[in-house]
Order: sequence, then C-alpha cells, then structure tokens
Amino acid sequence: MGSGNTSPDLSVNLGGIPMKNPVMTASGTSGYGEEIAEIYDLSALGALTVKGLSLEPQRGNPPPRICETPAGMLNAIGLQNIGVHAFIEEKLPALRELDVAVIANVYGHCAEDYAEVVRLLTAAGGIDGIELNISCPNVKKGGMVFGTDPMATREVVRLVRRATSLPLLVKLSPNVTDITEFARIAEGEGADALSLINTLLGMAIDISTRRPKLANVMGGLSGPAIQPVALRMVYQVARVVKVPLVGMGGIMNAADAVAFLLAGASAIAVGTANFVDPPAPVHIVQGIREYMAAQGIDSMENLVGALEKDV
Amino acid sequence: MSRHIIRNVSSEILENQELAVQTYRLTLSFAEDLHHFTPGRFVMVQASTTRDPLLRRAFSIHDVSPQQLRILYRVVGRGTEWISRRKSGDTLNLVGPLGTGFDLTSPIRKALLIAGGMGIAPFTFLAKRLREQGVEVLLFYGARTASELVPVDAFKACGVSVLTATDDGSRGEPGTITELFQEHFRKVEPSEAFKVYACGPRPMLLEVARITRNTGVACEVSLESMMACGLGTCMGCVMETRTGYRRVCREGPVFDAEDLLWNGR
Repeated sequence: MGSGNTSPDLSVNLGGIPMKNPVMTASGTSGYGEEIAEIYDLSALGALTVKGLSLEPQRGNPPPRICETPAGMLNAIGLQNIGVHAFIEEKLPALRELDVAVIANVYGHCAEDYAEVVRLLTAAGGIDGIELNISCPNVKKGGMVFGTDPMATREVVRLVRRATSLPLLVKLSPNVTDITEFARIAEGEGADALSLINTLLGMAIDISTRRPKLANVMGGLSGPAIQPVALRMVYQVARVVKVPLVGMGGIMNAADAVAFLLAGASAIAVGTANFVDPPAPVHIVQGIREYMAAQGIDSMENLVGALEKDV
Repeated sequence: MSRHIIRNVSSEILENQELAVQTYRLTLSFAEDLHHFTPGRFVMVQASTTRDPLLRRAFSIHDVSPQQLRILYRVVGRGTEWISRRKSGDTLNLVGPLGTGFDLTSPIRKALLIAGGMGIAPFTFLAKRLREQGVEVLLFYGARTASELVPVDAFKACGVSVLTATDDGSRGEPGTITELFQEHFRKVEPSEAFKVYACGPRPMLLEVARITRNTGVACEVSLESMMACGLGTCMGCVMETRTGYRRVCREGPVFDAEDLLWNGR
C-alpha cells in the first residue's frame, strides 16, 4: 500500500488513450456532449464516448422506445444518429476544443461499413479512440449480430484494425454464453481495449393493453438491475486477456465504480446514471479519489484488479 | 452555453396538497429567482431515494412565483405515489427548466386553451402570461368526471373565461371537451388574430389538430412522453414529425400541431 499523505493519481492509459481519470460516459447516454456540457464541465471526465455513429444517418426505431423496469430501464432507440459525415462537420469541431479524450462509438450494417466509418473518423482528426459497437441489441442488421457470432466478431475487428491506427476498443455483448470467447477473439485481432457490457436483451409487457411496452418489442436492459452480471463478466474477462477493460453496467456511484476497478476494469463508464443524476460522473471521480486516499492507494495500477485473491 | 439555467438542486417542499382525486399540487421553494422558467417547459423530479423506481419523473411547470415553483400531478404509478407522500419540509431534487415551451412571441389578441385531464397543468402559468400581454383567454377544460377536475380559481382570478365538459356530464357540458371546443371554434372570426393551445391525452390533441388544420389558425400542442433523461441525450422520448423523429424533451414538449405526424402510440 502506498502513502496516504499524497493525493492519489487517478490517471490511466487505456490502450493508448491517456486519461486524467478512469471515468467515462457510456455511448448513447451523453449524445455528442452538447447537452451534458450545459450541466457540468466535460473536462472533469476521463473520456467522453459519443453516441454510435453510422455511415448514413439513422432514423432509429418508432416510439415508444423506452420503459422503466425494476431498478432499470429498457431501451430500443435503434441507434438514431446524424451519420458520420454530419458528425465530423457539425459536432467534432467543438469536441476537439475540449480538454477530454473523445471516443467515437461506431456501428455498421456490414463489416465494410464499420471500416469506412472508422477510416473517415481517423482521417478527420481529433478523435482519441474508436469503440466498435458489435453489441447493440436494437438494430436488425449489424450491431449484436457481430458480437454474438465468433466469426463475425473476428472479421469486423480484423477489418477495422487495418483501417485505423487509433486506439481501438471493442464493446462486447453480454448476450452470449461465454463472453471470454469474444474477448479473446477481439484481443487476438488487435483490439487495444475492451468495453463491457452492452445492454442485456429484455422485454416488458403492458398487461392492460396486452402489448409489449416497446414498439420494437424487445430492447436493451440497463441500470442497477444488470450490475451484478456486468461485474461478473468484467471479472471473468480480466482473467483471460491482457488488454485493459472498461467496465460498465449499472454504475450509479463511486462505490459501484470501485467494485468494477477491483474486479479488473482499468476504467469505468457511466451510462444510465447520466439520465437519473446528470452530474454522476463528476461525483464518481471525486468518490474514487476519496476511496483511494482512505485506503492508502496512490495510483490506479494499485487499484485495478486489486481484489483480494484468497476469496 | 446555458449552464447557469440548468439546475440539479434539492429544494424544500412548502406544500403537497391533494386538489382532486389522486391529483396533487406540489409547491417548492428556491433560493434564486425562477425568471428562466417559462410556460410549457418542464422539470425532471426525483421519484425515489433508492434505485427503484430508477428514473426521474417529468412534470410541466404549473405555476411560478419569483422563488416558488408549482407542479400539478396525478398519482399514476410508483414514482408519483412516492412523490405524493412527501411532506412540507422534505426536500426533492430537481433538474430544469428543460425543453421548449409555448411560443408567446407571435402577436395575438385571443387565445383558446384546451385542456384534457392533467393537460390543465401547464395552462395556469400560460394563461397568466397571456393575460399579462393583454390577450383575451378562453379555457376549455374537460375530464372524465367532476371529481377529476381541479379548481380553476387561478384562471378566473386573472380574467380567463372557463368552459367545462365532463364525459359523464357530472359537471359542465356532457361530452368531450373537443366537441365543446369545435362548436366554439366554428363561431370565432378568423380575423380575430387568435391562437389555439392544447394539452391532454394524444387522442384529444389529434382531434384538436384535425379541427384547426387548414384553418390558418396556429395551434400549439404540448406532448407527454416517457422520458429517461429529459435532457436530450437518450433519444427515448421522440415524436415523429415532418422532419423526422424529434425529441419531446428538447425540441418539444410544445410542438406546432402542423409539424406532427400522429403515427404510433
């Protein structure tokens, strides 16, 4: 244990992305940063992950797109986004000015789409990392299809790896029997880091109308309800890969975040909590700092994966 | 950026009073002036101290005095039930004001307000502002039954004429409020420079939009939608418009009726 007298160092290098602290926003929960910037200074974050970008603009799914569930929520947004070209033209200039790492979340209908979006983003400059979304449960083509088929995962990561020299994160789906299989494949194909988990496929029914609550019928479950599943998967994956992990899934406060770091995540992403408590990421950074100081932990490398081994 | 107008503050409850069946008026106290709270905008209110229920609840601004905010709400589920049990002296965390409210810039002489059920909530504040501008205001207020109607003293106090209808005829005209509105709408001279504002259930809004369509009379409707963030980030609350899906929490909740496509639920 280090000295408790000095202020702990929260900086972390996530597969080539230097971050001042391990707290990120999860894709799709903070748009392109504009709305969140009205609430707090984005430079408080370790990294901002923007809403999933596709080659062409996407309308998204018909409403209702969300519903509340026990200690969680379902969403089937369908990756509504302005498309990579408009993102580069309209949103990226403001993001370049920020003192925060910007990670672009990317998805496509086919592997070539993913690669093309990544090429465009790489050429545009000002992006610190790419996160491949091969795990969205709410689009019919692309998304989770890639993240639940080992061969498709291999193909898309390989193709994208050739398309960029930027740090590459691959966001894994929990909707598989053995997530470590997909983690190993992504690492083997050159991913610099892994994000886990995306939402769990779920459903809710309104018994008075006898209709699914979501127009899309099924959607992705997020929030505290999925936290134990996410934590377990981070723990499992951390034991079989060497690349750093971004842990996410129902993190609401610093205590939740520290659990993921102890389980082996090098960074954590705040998702649904951004909706419930918009400044949550700022409070989580502060809470991690306080935990480290109280525990006499001086740096992130002494916290990440520091779960007691004799359990 | 407008960071200074977005709040995430805990405010003290001054009053949480039941005005009609399962319908409450919450009065909250603030340290600062609420001059940026305008009619038609909304707030996201804490609805639990635990993680279940998880999400905040969206409520339109019912009324504002310099340092007090009022919210009118009906208990419809666990979140509103929790809020209804808060007592004066308790605190509630709130984010707001959010969204795009009613347009008060176009010069009009007369406004027709149509409220269905809880759709009355944003109109107290709107009517006051319209009256301050010297606009003649007529309120059409409907509900299923008399016990669901909240008192309309605040409207009458600022010189608003109120017409009421209930589905079961227990107060006011028997029938729907849109029937009463349509009768009246036919009689108004188009030259009177007037505007229609509506808030209530989707079928009612759709009917008001149908009545006013192609008449040259502007009609603004305030929509309700399930929201997760209220900020414009989750994209969960969208409504289909002529220019694609638009966020009820950001581009709305008030929309020009002509822009909306009324598909879906």
